[in-house]
Amino acid sequence: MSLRPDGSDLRIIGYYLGKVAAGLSLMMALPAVLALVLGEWNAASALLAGAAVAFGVGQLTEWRLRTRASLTWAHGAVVVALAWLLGSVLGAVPLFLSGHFSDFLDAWFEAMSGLTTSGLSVIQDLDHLSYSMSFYRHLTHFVGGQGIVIVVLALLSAGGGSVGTLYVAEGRDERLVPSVVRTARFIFLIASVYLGVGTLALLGSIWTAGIGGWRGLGHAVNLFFAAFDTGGFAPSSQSIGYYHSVTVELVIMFLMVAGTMSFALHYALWNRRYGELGQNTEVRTLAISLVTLSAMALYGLAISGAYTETSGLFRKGFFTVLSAHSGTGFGVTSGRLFLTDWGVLAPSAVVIAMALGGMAGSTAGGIKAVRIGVTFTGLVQDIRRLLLPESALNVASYHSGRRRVLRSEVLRSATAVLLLYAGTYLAGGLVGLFYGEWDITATLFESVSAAANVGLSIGIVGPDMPRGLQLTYIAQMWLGRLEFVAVFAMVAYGVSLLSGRRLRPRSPRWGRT
Amino acid sequence: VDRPVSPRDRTAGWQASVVGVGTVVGIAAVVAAIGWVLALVMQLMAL
Repeated sequence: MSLRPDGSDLRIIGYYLGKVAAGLSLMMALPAVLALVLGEWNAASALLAGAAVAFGVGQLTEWRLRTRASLTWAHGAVVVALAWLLGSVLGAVPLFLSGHFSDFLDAWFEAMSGLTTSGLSVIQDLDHLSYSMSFYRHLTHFVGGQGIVIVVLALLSAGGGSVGTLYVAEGRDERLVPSVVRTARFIFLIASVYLGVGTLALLGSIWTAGIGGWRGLGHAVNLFFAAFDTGGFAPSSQSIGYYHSVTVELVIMFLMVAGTMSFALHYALWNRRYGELGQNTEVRTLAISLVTLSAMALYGLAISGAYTETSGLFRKGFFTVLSAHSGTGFGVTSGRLFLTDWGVLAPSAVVIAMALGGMAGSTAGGIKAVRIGVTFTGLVQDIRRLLLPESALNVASYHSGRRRVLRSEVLRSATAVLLLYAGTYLAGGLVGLFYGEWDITATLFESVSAAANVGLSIGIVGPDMPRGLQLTYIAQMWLGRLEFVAVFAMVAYGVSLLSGRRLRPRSPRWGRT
Repeated sequence: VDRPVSPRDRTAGWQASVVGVGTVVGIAAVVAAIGWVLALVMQLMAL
């Protein structure tokens, strides 16, 4: 029997949601300024209207629900789960007003895809989107990639001691330095350095591809957000294929590798602890899976006859596998070719790469290499236990920053999340089958892409896709980004709100403030 | 609790960012080289 939350619990949840809403108005205000400078009046009015709605909702909520009560773990999980829903709805307002979406559901899908760094898109006439709205669309990757709640609360120092609770609830459990706020700021330092380096590298490569001036700068900044935050939106409807440039593709590869690395690994490298590269269980797992799946995909492409030269296999096949494995979702070829020209083996390798994902504690989605590594280590331990005498001491360990003993609760948690991802992938694939238009290959491809926050599409996702399937993918992107825990906690909280037992006498912690 | 940063932390200053980004550039170059070699080998295997 769970305890029923009372008014003060709902008050504190609402108060923090208000803070997040008000903070998100800044995400719209920045591109609004750009729109005003560029004289893009329609985009400016859409972005200002969106910012006003978010700021108004936030201020009103904060004013009505102001409280000094501290945030518990349960509150934190509910705030985070609801903040991503609220943030995507508020973020959809400027997109809807831009006129590039047929209805609000399409705009909500796009906003959820942007914030969860998925990159699936249902936008219409992307090639004629204004610069400022394109910047806003890519900025959602950056804000969502760092964690919208943390962006608002840590950088604005608005959460006080509650930031740590929200930090863990948002799917980040690594602390690079003892303080959560300092950790968040170090993550922003890394992102800022890469913003400078990556944008310059992209600007140069895009310039050599024939796009210069302010337009080139706009493409470079937008592509940086999408590549480093493993998002997948692109300024052009042909994604990276638009540039026809091996230099652009190589720079994007560098940024995808940087984006899929955990911030803990970045921290180790900045501290010149190079040994981490060879010892870290997650790095080893990712290296093995990337090489294996690339070999699978490239062999499949070679025998299918889709690409017969090394350069074609590398630029189309290897780029796509790296894009899938890193959770980015950039395309260098039309998604429909996966079904028609790529045979069976290569698309299967791409689906597995998407499902596995990058490193935990990065912006990549999917199951994450550390869970695969830990589960495999646990499996080896079980086999060893069968072979060794009963009296033998059998201790398994893995390396993450330092050598750690593999405890049963770590193994259980990794296996549970792995199974939840697998179940979500299958469920989305099954929902797609009910529409009777696609086979399991196509629906599973799209479902994995949504739940693992990748963004590669085989052609199901688009402005004309079925509404039920669109809602399914929205839910999958949301679940995948929060790695289930916060959403499940929110559901359990809702159930206890309806059927939980009221605590009497009321504890002082639950009293109204 | 906001404890002090470890004295072993050497991430401050521009040198640390050069080292960090430079290492990742090296890793990305190795990844791309492996991809190219795999493409070459798989092309030959499929012949």
